[in-house]
Amino acid sequence: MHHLTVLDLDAVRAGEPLSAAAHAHLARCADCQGQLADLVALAEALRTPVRVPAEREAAILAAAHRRADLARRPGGPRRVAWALAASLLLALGGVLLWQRHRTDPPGAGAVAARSAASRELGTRDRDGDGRVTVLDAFALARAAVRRTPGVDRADAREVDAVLAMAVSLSGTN
Amino acid sequence: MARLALTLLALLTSASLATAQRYRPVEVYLDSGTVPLAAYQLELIATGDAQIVGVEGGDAPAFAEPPAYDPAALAGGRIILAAFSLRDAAELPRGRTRIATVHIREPGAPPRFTVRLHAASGPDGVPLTPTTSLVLEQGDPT
Repeated sequence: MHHLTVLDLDAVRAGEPLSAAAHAHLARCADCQGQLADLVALAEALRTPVRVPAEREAAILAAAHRRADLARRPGGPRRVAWALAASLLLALGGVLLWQRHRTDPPGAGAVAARSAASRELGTRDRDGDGRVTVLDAFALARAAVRRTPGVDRADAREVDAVLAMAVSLSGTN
Repeated sequence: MARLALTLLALLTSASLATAQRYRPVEVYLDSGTVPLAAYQLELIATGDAQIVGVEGGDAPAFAEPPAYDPAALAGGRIILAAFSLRDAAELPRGRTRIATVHIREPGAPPRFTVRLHAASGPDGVPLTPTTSLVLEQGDPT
């Protein structure tokens, strides 16, 4: 089976039903698990209340109304809903980015780097013991060998990356 | 005169011993008892005047290749070693086995070595707690 789409992964994140094949793929695909972890982190970040300035709120609503007007022409209510959702999502994303850029204190880069390292640790800590060790690389290698007789390059690279993280002296683990 | 010569000789000898650097192999052993050892990760720390200069693999064919380590360790006295093998259980070492040798440069007084196990497992991935031990070879002065 191919990798899951972002919509499939977001459905998993939201607890919506998905095919057994998709779940089986997710259980053994480190890439898809990584993307799912990113989506979960994004959803957590979006949960923080966002204060939208009045003028931007007005601009968002105006854009949404324009799209809705366009969509009332041939295409039906489904198209209206998609257009509205897409424009709201885009606008919200823009506001979030603008607000972060405006309010990020000095050192926010370091915080972001730590957050990225934390996400990396989360996706590579396969046994969930809170750290990345050789056992995580070993589990990944065993899973890859079980899946395919010869481990492909992507799997081997990921195993090497996990092992490198396990022996790192830089304190990221 | 003879007494002066002896004193000078003693001073020269002690100075020479103080500045001589030594390269010492430190053998790292794990003992997993009757369970085959498939993966391990441990930390070796040399406290004192020491520099890690190289890492060798172990005795068992499953761990004959040098284990993974951070190249940054070669500048200091602390290293994390990790390796695993996907071989069948019958080909994995049991009991006490040398899993690696770490070569140490000792510019001065001999350092103190400590080893700490981070993780280990059998071929099925079930965690193990093998005992660790070090054997300090005599080393060659240069």
